[in-house]
Amino acid sequence: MSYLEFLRVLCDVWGYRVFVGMPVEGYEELFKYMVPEYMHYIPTLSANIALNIAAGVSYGDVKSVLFIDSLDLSKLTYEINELNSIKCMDLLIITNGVVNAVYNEIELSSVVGNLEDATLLKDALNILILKDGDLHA
Amino acid sequence: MHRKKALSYIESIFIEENNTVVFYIGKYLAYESNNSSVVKVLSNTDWFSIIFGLSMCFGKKMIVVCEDFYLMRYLNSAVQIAIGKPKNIIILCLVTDTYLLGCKQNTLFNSVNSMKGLLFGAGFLVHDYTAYFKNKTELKNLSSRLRTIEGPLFSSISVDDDKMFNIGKDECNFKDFLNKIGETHVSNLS
Repeated sequence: MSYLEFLRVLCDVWGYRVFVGMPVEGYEELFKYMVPEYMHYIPTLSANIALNIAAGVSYGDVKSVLFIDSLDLSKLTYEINELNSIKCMDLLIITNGVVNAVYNEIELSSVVGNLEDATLLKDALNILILKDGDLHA
Repeated sequence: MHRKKALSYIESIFIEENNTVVFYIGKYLAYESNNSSVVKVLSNTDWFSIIFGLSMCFGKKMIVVCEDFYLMRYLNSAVQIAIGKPKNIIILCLVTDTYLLGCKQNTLFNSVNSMKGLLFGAGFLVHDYTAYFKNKTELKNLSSRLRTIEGPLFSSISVDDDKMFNIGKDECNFKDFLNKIGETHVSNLS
């Protein structure tokens, strides 16, 4: 799937509106297309801030996407669970599979491994793990 | 001025406004207020970022009342707000420069050469409302000004350092707030 096609699926097919995060290793090209002029993309100072902004957007009943490196994700599992316990977040976490992060420790979520035939849990936290070759220019 | 009095002034300005939500961050602020319209949250989470996220979905003005120690702890999130330039976020920071736990440890707020300069450089409109909070006539001028002003605005208010001990359990009514707005809210993001 091309980068543009991927962003179109996120916005038009899956209905995500706000994108928050930091560049994910291995997918730097994707962030060239994510310009604030064309979409609600918020570049952040740290992964922690990105998570909290995405949570705030989800609490406001707007579907949001969080781009996060798997290294950061493994450090934030406790915080994700805390935020999800306040209100179930309609949030898609997109991460790379570089490190075998502890995805199972994130409660009330589904892990989407295959991009081509991905089905997401409705109104819930989903984690999409991008793999080498999933996206191209 | 005592913190409790400053908070009651803040409430008198904003609480009747329909398009305003007031957040108190930290149990010491929550303890000082009995007003149920105020959203009280705990200080162990990055509420600056969460409120920034919420502000994008609501047209309402978000008044965030925090203490200086909280601002110092989440200074990077405050900078993130300034960069985002949300028009509906106002941060009112009550400054004592000490932790309110009975100990005399400084929060380092006043150790920064120019905290206001730092926040202004990041993108905040920076004011100091300490003088306004000294008498009620001045406060009236401030209230009409605050109702129309656009953010992101940061204002510091210097208050007395009253120590507090054993104020009991943390109070958080954020879930109630979300439930309440969930019934009426329609997002304006498309």
